Amino acid sequence: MTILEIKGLTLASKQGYIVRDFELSVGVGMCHALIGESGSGKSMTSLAIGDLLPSSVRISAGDIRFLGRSLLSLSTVQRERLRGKDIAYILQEYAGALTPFIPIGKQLDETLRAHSVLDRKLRKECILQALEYTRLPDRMYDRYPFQLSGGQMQRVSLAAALMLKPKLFIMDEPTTALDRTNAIEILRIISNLKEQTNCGILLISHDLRNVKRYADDVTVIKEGQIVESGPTQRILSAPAQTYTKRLLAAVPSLRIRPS
Amino acid sequence: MNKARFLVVFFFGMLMVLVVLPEFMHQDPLMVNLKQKLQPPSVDHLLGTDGLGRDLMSRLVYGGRNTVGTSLVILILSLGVGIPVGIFAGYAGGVIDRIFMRVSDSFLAFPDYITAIVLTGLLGPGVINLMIAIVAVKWIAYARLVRASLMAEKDKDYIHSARLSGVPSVHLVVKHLMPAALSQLIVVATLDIGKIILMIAALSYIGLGLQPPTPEWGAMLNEGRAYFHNAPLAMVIPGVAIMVFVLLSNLMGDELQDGLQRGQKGEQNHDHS
Amino acid sequence: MNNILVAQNIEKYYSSKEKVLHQISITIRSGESVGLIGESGCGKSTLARCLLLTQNIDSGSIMYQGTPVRATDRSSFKKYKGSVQAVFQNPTGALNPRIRLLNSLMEPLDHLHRRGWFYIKKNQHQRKEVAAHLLELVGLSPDLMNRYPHELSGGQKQRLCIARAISVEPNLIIMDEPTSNLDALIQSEILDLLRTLQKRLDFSYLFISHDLPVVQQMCDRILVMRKGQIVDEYMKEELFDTKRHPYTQQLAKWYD
Repeated sequence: MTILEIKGLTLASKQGYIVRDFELSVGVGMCHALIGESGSGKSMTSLAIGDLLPSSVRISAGDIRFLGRSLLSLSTVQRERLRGKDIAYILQEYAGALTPFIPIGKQLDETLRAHSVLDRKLRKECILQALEYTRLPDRMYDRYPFQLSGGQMQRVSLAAALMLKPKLFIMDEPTTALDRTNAIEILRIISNLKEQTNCGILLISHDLRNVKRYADDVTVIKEGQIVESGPTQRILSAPAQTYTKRLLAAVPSLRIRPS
Repeated sequence: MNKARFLVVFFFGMLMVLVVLPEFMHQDPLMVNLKQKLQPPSVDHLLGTDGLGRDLMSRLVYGGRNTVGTSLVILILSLGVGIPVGIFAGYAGGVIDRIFMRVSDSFLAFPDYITAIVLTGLLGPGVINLMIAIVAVKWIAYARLVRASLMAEKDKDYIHSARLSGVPSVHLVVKHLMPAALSQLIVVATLDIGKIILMIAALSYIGLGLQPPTPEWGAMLNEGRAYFHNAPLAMVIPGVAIMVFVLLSNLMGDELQDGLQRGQKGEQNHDHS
Repeated sequence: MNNILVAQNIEKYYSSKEKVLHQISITIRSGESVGLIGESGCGKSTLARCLLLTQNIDSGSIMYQGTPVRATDRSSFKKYKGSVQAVFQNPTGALNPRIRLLNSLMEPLDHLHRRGWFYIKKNQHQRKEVAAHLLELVGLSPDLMNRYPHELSGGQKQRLCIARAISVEPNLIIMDEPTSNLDALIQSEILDLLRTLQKRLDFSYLFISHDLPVVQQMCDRILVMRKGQIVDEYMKEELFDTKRHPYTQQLAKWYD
């Protein structure tokens, strides 16, 4: 069964179409990467899944199915409940996801209380487990967000998400603002998560190096439309479309010297 | 933005009215006529007379000049002191900034009304002393605002670029740093017009500001208090006048603030990378 | 080949306990493209600010074309003005949002002219022509000069910052993560642009980044920074040499 299935999605705003006739599916235990330049519509597509589109953008056609159910036929409240519990977002702007003057542990606790019925002791265990999984020391529980580095904050948002055992992770440029060490760590954690929980991952990135290593499938999007789509191996080593070739050529590499 | 513009124009319109209207007053606001005291509105006295037989209409209008006019003068003086100090403290930093912060902390430790009352008490009654007292209390907020704005912007990359381009300090402050501070300053200053009017009225009400027989709305409140049951107009009229101007300045300040925030958000939204 | 910038034994503390820069020495010669690679938090941005004289150093010396320069010394800063320029990571922060792009772009030229802005004012027509020329050099349309920063994309803003930096024909441009905020396609265009401009105008640059392949592409000589210290220095061809510091080798492995 596929976890996420998008078919014929069209997003429109006053300025015109942002995304046209888009389709993509994420299977169980699979990571599907969506790549394209900034402004291509990839972020808007990810927001559409969780009912997070800005008021100026609307879905004018198509369907989004989560675990077989059409999301667009659900009410706002039902979609809200899905978001956070079954569908988790990890965004580039990790700092905005955390309240600066509340300790980490308390914030994670709040999230857990909102979505589960565990008692206090179990909640604390769950949080500590999540912190351990994301390679954060226990003392992070009492720390404040401003005491954390970028990499640590992104791990906290991961911990917050995985505590609730979501079926789908939507990650929009999760490592772009981080340096290499942290980026690799985060991606490794995500990869382990995928293997252990069979969750689905929609990874939006413009960093093709990460995509090559961690994504099973890839879809290339340009100006709101699909350029090509398929298994990562095939698309990135033998791209059919000129645009994909351009994207690949733009990645600086250690081995190839540019002309 | 239209609402804000309308309010600003309206406010200045009212100011113009206050400036011009006295010329149309036939009655002398200072002339005492005990036989005519506490008269209801009539053709001669459009709003009636007060406890000493003076024409309320002309006292209202001349009083407006005094109350609102004095508050504007105080505002300008406070800005005139606060802005330069804020610039020195925020831009130069170091010792000057530390001295400024300690001074301002000690002033801010007391509520402004208390400080103003104490100062006018020490200096004695009268318009000049009133102005000194209120300016002494108000300038600090403006200085701190300018200082905070400068300190926030000072370290931004576009300032470093400007320095590397050889932009001299004065130009840097005036063209790059101040505009950011000014927009905030305008909002606060506009809201303060109302606050200063209230302060003048309060101090005059307790006899520490403008002295009788000078018409001033706060003092008029005090004068009308004794006759409130017989002839309420003497107290109600200046009260309503104070309320109108304070409300106007608050509305203006609010709209300007909203307009500014909207403008800032607009810039952020259009930014695509 | 003479030395443009020689920094020796630079040390900087954030507080009495926290040492941010340990004995940093860098030499940049004329026409050279030098890279500085380091992960976030290693102090490379602090070093950039110290070299640009926007922050004080606690010990060590910086010599520009043989003369010592200091952050606190106004007369030495005069040597820098117009000879050393910078391109920063965030183009949005590097442009005054309230000022038209024409004026931001022409700021260095306006102020470095001996006679000041009166001279330029008289020659408004010429000024706009110079601005148009600069914009074309970096691949931007001259109509953009009348716009405001928020109307441009990140890539366009960064091009404008580059145009501003080269406008005074500097000897040295210090670039702190100039393309890190831009996506891959735009990044490669900007890097190509920088290389082309360097060949034409012959300035030196110090290119600071955390992205090893980018630094390898852009620089002939590369320094590696870690936790406030320079741990390695090599010519670009020597990246896979066995002599490399283990940290350098680790970075190379990651990016391969």
